[in-house]
Amino acid sequence: MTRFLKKYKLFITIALITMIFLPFTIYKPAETDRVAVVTSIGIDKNGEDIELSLNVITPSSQGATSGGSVGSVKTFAAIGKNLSTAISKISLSVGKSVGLAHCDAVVVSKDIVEEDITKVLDYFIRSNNLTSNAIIFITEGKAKDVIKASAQETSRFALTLSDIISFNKMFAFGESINIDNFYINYFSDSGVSILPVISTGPEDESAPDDQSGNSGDGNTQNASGDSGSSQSEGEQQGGQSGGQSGGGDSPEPSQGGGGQGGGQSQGGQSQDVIKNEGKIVVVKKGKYVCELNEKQVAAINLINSRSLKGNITAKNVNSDIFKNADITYQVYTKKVKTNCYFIENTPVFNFDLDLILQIKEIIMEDYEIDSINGTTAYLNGEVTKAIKKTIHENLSELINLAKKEKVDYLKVYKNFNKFDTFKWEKYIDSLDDKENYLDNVIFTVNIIAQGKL
Amino acid sequence: MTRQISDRQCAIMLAISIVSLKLLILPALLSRYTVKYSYMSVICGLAIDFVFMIIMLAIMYKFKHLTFSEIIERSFGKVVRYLLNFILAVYFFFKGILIVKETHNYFNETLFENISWWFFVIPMLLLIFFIIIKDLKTISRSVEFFFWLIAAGIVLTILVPIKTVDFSNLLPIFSKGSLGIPESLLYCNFSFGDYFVLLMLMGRVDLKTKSRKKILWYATITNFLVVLFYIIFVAMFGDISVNQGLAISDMPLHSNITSAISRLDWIIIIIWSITLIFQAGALFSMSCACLTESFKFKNKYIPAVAIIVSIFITAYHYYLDLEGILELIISLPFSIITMTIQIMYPIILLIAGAKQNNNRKFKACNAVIKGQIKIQYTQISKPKKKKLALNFSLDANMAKEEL
Repeated sequence: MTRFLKKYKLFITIALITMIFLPFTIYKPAETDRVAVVTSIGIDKNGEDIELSLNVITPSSQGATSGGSVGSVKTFAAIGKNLSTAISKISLSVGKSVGLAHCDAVVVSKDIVEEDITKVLDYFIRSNNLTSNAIIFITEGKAKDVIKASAQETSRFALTLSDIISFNKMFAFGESINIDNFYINYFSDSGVSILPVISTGPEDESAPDDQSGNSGDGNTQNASGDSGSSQSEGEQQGGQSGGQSGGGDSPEPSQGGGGQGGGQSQGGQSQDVIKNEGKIVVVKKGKYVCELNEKQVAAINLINSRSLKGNITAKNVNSDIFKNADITYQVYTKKVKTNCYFIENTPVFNFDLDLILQIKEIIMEDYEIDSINGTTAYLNGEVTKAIKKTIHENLSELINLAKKEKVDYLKVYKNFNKFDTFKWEKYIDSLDDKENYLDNVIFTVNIIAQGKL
Repeated sequence: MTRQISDRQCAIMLAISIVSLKLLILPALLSRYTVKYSYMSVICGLAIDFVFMIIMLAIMYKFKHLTFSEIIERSFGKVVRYLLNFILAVYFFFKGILIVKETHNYFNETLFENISWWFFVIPMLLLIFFIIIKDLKTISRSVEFFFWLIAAGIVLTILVPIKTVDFSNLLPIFSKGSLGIPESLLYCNFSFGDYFVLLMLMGRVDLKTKSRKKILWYATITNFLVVLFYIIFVAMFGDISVNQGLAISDMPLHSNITSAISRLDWIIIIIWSITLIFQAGALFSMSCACLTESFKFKNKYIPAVAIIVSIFITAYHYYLDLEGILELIISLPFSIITMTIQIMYPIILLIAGAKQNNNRKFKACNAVIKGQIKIQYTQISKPKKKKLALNFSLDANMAKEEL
C-alpha cells in the first residue's frame, strides 16, 4: 500500500484535488451570473443624496450564437446617502454583486464638483474592485444622461467614452486624469487637476445621415420602453436590440429605474449621443474653480509635450502675398521644455517651444497665385510674427487666469520644488499669503517655429 | 535533499527569493515610513543583502561539500546545530506564511473576488505538501522551468507603464526627511535577508570556478530589476504609493494604455501567482528540512505533516487577516528578532569558518553511483597530520555497502 502511494503520489494528489473540487465546480454558477460587469459609472446629486448610474454588461449566449454581440449594455440607477448604499441598491435590483474591475470611466456631474468631488471618489480609491485607470469626466448636465447615451452606441460613428479617453490623451490635453492621478494631484502642493468636460446632445448633429440609427432598419434601435418591466434605463443589444422608442414614464431611480429609453427624443428618430467639445474644468482640492475657454485649452494643449497635435491660427496677417488673411497651422511636432530659475529672489518660469508647423488653411478675400504655392510653408516675416503673437496671447490669457484664480495648472510649484527646492521654499516662506505664490512668478516664452511642407 | 543542484539553479532560486516578497505589499509598506523614498530603502536593503550574500558564497566555496548543519556541528557542537536549525525552521515558516497570506489576498483582490477560503487553502496545502516531500533538486528544476516566464512577467510589468512615467517626480530627494529610510529597513527587514536561501543550499550546489560569478550576476540583475520596479512605482504613484497594496498588478493598471487592450495585468497576475506558489513551497520545504535536521526525523512525512498542520492552524487563525500578520511582522519586537537572526547567522558562519581554518582542515570526496552523488565523505584532519584516515578511492561497490 505504502509502495503504491509512493509510486503514484503525483497522480493521487491530482486525483484528490479533482475529487474535492469537481462537485463544487459543477454546481458553481458562472461568475457572470453572480457579478454584474460595470463598464462606466455616472454620479449625480439628488438633493442631499447621490444618484448613481451604472452601465452593466449582461452577457448573453443568445447574442453570441445569433451572430450579434456577446452581450448587451443596460443602465441601472439608484439613489443613496452615499455610494456604498447606492451600489447596494443596484446590486439588489440587478440580483448580482457589482463588479467594477472593467470600469473605464467615471462621469461626475458639475454640481457635485462645485461642492467637492472627493466625497464621491473616496469609495473608489479604497476599492480594489475598481481599476485605478478609470478616467474621470465632468458633465454639465446629468451624468446619468451621459451613461445612458454611452449604453446606446447606436451608430458606428457615435462617440464612445473610450474614444474620448484615447483622443483626449493623444490630441487634446496630453493626459487623462484617472482616479490615481486625481489623488496624486490632490495630495500635491498645488492640489490642482484639470478634468475634461463631456455632454450629450442629439445624434443628428454629429453622425452621418446614413448612420442615424433609427428604428426602421432593425439594426440599431432605441431602448426598452416597457414601463416597469425592466430595471434598465437604456439598452443596446448587439445589433439586435428591441425596437421600442422612448417616451416612457420616468420612474424613481432609487427603485432601479423603469423602462425609459436612454436619452432618446420623443419621436424615436434620433437620440442623444455623447459629445466632446474639448472643454476643461479646473479643480482645486476637489472643488470646482473655473472652466477654460477654447483659447486657454489650445494654450494648455500647446505647452503639454504629450499632446500630439493642435492648431494655431494667426489672424489678420498682411504681407506681399496675404491681405488680411487668417492662416491656420497644425502643430506637426513640438518640443516643450520648461525651465525654472530665480533672478534676485524672483522666480522665473520659462517655456521653450520648438514647433514644426504645417500649413492647413488660409482664409482671405482675394487669393493670389503665390498663396497656393505648394513649395513653401509661408512661415517667415509677418506670418511668424503673427503666429508668435497668437501663442503669446493665448498663453497670457492662460497665465492670467491661473494667477487670478490661484490655480497652478501649469505645475509651477511642482517644477520649482523639484529643481530649485531650497530657493523655492525660501520664496514661499517670504510670502504673506502662500496661496498667492503665482503672483510674483515671471513667465517667459521662447518660441522657435519652423515650417513643414 | 542529497542530490546536488547546478550553480544556475542555485542562482535562480536566489533570484526568485529576492523578488517574491518585494513586489506586492512591501512597496506600500515601505511608503508608510518613507513616503516617496521607498526605492532608497530598497537600494540600502538590497546592498546589505548583497554583502551578506558574498559572505555566504565565500563560506559555501570554503566548505564546498559541507551543509550548514555540518559546518555548525563541527564548530559549535550538536546543541547549537539543533538550536540554529530550529530557529531557521521557524524563520522560513513565517516567511512562507506571509507568502501564503499574500497569495490568498492577491487571489481575492485580483482573480477571484469571492473565493472561498477553503477553495484556496486546500489545494494550496496539497501543493505545498507535494513540494515539501520532493527534494531540492526537483524544486529547483521546476523553478528553473518557470524562471524565464517569471522574468518576462516582471520585465513586462516594468515596461508597460514606463512610457507614461515622469521620472522627475522622484525629485526633490529627501525633501520630506531621510529618517524614514532606516526606520523602514528596521520594521520591514523581514522581507529582506534572501541570502538565507544560500544557507540551505550549502553543500548542495555543484560549485565550479565561475559559479560565484554566475550567482552574483543573477543576483545583481534581479536586484537591478527590483530597484527599477521601485523607482517606476514611486515616480508613478508619488504620495499615494502607500495606497497601492498590490503594487505589481496596480502598476500596469495605472497606465491608460491598458484601457485600449483590456486587462493586461491578468498576464502578470497569473505569472506572479506561479512565483508566489513556488516560493511558498520552497520556503516550507526549507523549513521542513531544518526541522528534520533539528529533531532528526527519520521519516520525512512527519515534519511535512507537522508543517502542513501548522500552516493550516496559522492561516485559519489569521483567516482573511493579512493586516494582522503584517502588523505582527512590522512590530518592533518581531523586527528586532528577525534583524538579529539575519545578522547573527552570517556572523556565526564567519566565526565557524575562522575557527575551522585555524584548527582543522577538511577533505572531501563524493561516492558516485550511476553518475549521482550518493554519499559525501568529509574528513577532518589536523594540519600536521599528513595521512588521512579515509581512503578516497572509494568505488561504487563500497558506496553501495555504505548505503
